[in-house]
Amino acid sequence: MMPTTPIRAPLASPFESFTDQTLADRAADGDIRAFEALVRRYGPLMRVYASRVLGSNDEMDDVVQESFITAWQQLPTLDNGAAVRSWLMRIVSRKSVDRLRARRPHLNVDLTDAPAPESHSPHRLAEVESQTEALTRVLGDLPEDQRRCWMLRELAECSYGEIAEELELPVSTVRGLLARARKTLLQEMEEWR
Amino acid sequence: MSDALAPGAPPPDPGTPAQLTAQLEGAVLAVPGVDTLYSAAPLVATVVASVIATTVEAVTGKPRSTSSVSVSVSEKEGGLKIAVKIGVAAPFAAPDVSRRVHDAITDQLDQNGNPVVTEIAVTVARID
Amino acid sequence: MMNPSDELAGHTFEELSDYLDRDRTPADPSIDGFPECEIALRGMQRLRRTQRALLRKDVERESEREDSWVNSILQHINLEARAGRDIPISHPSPTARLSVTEGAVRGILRAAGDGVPNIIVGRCRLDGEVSEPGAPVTVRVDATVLEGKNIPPLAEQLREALYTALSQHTELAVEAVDITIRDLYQPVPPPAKAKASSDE
Repeated sequence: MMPTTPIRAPLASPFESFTDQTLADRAADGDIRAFEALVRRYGPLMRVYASRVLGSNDEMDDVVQESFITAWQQLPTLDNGAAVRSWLMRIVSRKSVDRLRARRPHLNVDLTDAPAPESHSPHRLAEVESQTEALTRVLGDLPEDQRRCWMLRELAECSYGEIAEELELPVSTVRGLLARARKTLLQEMEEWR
Repeated sequence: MSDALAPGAPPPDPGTPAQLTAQLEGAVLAVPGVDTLYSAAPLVATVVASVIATTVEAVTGKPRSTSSVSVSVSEKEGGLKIAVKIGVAAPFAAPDVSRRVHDAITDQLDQNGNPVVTEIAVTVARID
Repeated sequence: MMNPSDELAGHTFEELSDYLDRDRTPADPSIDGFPECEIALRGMQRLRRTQRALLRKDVERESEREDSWVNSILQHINLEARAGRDIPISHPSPTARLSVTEGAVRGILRAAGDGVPNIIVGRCRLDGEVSEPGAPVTVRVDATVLEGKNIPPLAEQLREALYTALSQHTELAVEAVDITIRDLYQPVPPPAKAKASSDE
């Protein structure tokens, strides 16, 4: 592979200035350039989301690619094009979790070799890990439903209603899960400082 | 195919199916206003090109060297069905271009022994 | 510092979390100003800031990656999923079956719209039995208009452009072209210049 020389996206496209709704509507009608603009606009965020869930970059490309292929197929069913951002984030959230579940057996094997959770002191983690890695690890220790709720809220910026729909839970449950996730993260974060 | 030929006259060489599709491809692409000739197979299926090549072989009895088929030649109700999917360059009018593509195909078929044709389908899939 | 069993001025942590997500509006005097609540809320805000700063940094890094992943996605999508119905084109030969796809027609409607300044075409619909030659068809188009522009003449210009494109590329019996101006859009500075300077 070539060394990673950052190459900026070509900037000529007027599509970059179009609203989410216009891009989503046109892509739903088959406008490939509008779809490309959506890929460029939200692809990077989706890649970060996938890597946060999966804890590695290895499978990120696959997950994001699958997500956009699904999005292309399902765009005509999206009623409100203005909500395309959270709609895309919900797709990548789903695909990432599917991927995580598929590899869970391997994960368990790995964990038996890893130090027991209580042995990694948060203070030491802060020294050796970047904040991103630390956050990913703390998130990884949360129960899955709490983690998904928190990520859909804080990274994907979904509304409570959208999260409830995505996780097929009552809004009241979403509220509770989110509060518990925040409480735990907050406790961990106090210890990072 | 042979029953399409006039009795008595020596049949012009219709060529192999692979030659016929190649000639039709050339004829279609030569029509002014045609800027793309799409694969007759669904676009996603190009990933499994080897499977398509095998299918063509099964249908025509001849192996194809290329992996994508842009002119589909098949049997329909005792004659040939030719199908192409094209992209048209916008300054040209899609109806005119599609009619000229149709006529280019019939001209080419004339040169290939004028086989019985039951359908010539020309689809304009994109104009830009 | 934060103890889960701390009193939160009679509120649960969940209520505070919810309050934060409502952007602390409407203001709740039973929360605002209570030190225990403020500590919890500030903690959650700090968490959010940290998370957003990390996210921004990571998204920025991802945005600067080379373009190959975009192309690889575009190569895998199935354009035929949007072909829609076949719209017939006439030909004297009985064996001819000529058509233009609904997807291609939507494409030329968008392209025609893009040729009209200060208006952007969104969704395009062909209502009617487009597969039957001569059947009456109504074309419905959504559009957004640049803020401050006079809408009726722009809509008229767009309608003309759409009619021209339809009569050039189809044999549809277009009964009406309905244009719905759904929204206004803000003028944007030319993006090329804005980005180029940050590259220097």
